Amino acid sequence: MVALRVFARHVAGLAVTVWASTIIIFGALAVAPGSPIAFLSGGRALSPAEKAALNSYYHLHDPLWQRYWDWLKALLQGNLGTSIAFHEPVSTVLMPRLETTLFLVAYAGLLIIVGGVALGTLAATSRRALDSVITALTTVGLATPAFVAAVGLTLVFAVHLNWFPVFGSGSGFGGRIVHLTLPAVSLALGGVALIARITRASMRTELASEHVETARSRGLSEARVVRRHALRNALIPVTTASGLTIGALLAGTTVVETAFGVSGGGSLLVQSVQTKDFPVVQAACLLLVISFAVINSSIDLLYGWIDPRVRRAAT
Amino acid sequence: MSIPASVPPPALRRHWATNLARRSIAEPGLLLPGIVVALIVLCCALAPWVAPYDPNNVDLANVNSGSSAAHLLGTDAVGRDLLSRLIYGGRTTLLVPLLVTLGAGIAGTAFALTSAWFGGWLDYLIARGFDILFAFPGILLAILATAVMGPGLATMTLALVIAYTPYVGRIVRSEAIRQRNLPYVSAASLQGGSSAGIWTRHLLPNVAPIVNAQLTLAYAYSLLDAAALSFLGLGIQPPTPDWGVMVSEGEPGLTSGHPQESLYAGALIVIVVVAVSIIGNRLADRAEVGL
Repeated sequence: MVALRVFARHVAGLAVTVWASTIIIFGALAVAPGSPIAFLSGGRALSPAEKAALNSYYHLHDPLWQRYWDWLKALLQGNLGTSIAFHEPVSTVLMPRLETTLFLVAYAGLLIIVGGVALGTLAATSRRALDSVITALTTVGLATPAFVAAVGLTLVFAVHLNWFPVFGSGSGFGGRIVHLTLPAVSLALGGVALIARITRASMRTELASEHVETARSRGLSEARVVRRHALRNALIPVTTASGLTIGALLAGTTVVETAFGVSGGGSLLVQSVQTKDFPVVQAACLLLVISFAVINSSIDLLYGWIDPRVRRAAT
Repeated sequence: MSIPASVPPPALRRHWATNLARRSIAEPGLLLPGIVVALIVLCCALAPWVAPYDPNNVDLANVNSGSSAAHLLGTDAVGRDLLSRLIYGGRTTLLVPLLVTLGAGIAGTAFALTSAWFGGWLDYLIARGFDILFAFPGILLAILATAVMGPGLATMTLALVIAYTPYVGRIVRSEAIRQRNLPYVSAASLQGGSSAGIWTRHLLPNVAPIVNAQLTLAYAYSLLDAAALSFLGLGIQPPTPDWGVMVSEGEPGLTSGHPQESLYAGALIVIVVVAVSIIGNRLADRAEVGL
């Protein structure tokens, strides 16, 4: 019952966020300068049939709220419109690419959680020298944008060592892993640094707490104290932060996919802005924001599972 | 009867330059990043006097050259002097986040103080607005804005100001609400102080340390976002030099043995952001200690 209520509240929050983002994304079209049909065609010469299709999809003669409502209804039926550059339904263009993007985000997310928690725990439990080295590394990691990391990684691992390919998205699971490793590492770098910092800080607090002192005085091994008594509690703030961090990776895929020539949803969005393919821009933005909101709320739910106090507080 | 007065600690009363000097000596950790940032900013501000060449001077007889006496950092794929392009490029790279920080700082603080002061439905509306904007990744907002208004400095700056306003506003709002409930505000109000007077003379100075820390960090983050947009071709447009643009322009050189352009521009971005975020974190620590 309680779990259900928490779940319902999250779904409601999710719905509000998604609804607000549809307004922002639809509203963007409304504030575009010039005539909508010229804007939507991106300056291309359109055949009368294409013009009619645009006109009817966007109902350009109707008032704004009516157009928004119709657009929303079409969205709910899975109709994302027609791409102007590809001359295909947006969903045909976008969906396979979005799959690559989600794969990339999952890969990077895994690196962030495993790498960040491991580094943070190491920093919190080790001597001063190693701790300062890790802290310095995380400062640099946080300041390195993904496209600069991409430059460094390409140079070292693709050009000099020749371990990974420079470009492309690969096919099959193995091919994807090989092609997407460098993109995933560049995408994950900032997140690893952030999660390592948060883990270190919260681990330090836990290790100094009374229940850990008690566990030590009962003669438990330090490894067991760290794993069973400190880490589990220390992970609570880490979970919230990783939700936001992993969600933010979705926006980061625009940069990483472009840098590595990966054909995904992020690079498609950037291309579509350059080719003025607005239906694709709208759909890609919307799906990225929805994925962001879904990932965020799922991790919030997970938070309740890790910390029973949150579950109880919700009643 | 003693009324809790809002006397600022003595340190705040000294001249700001004296303060800066005293703090820098007391904290060498702040001095080094401060000097690094100051030097880079100075170089870029004085670009016409410091840069050895015109940044857009093409020399096709001398492309992709390494370091030499004539070109200290070498040249790019069309023979433009890299050092000069880096110095001029810093101007846009460093200016955009400054504008973003100022804009988001003013808008965020104004919304937050309005929210905290009036409370009620206005507070609810502003807080929800912050939440919703916060859920919309800044770079996506900027990409959407570029799709609509075309790429360029103005579009990018405007979109990032909107994206960073809740980032500043959320923290300022919670701090202002906390301060508003402290006895000194009701004391000032009881003494007959006007709302505007209490805002500008008491509330604003007391939330200032937190605002400053948050703005310094916002500068670092928005620099990364702006550079990423320029890298994508959606921000500063070539041939205007910009560090993000240069990383992108240097990419073909990575696989053909001329990685200098991307490397130098990327390194400068990292150096500036590391220095600024060290300063920001210090300010944040101090703001929390000062509470």
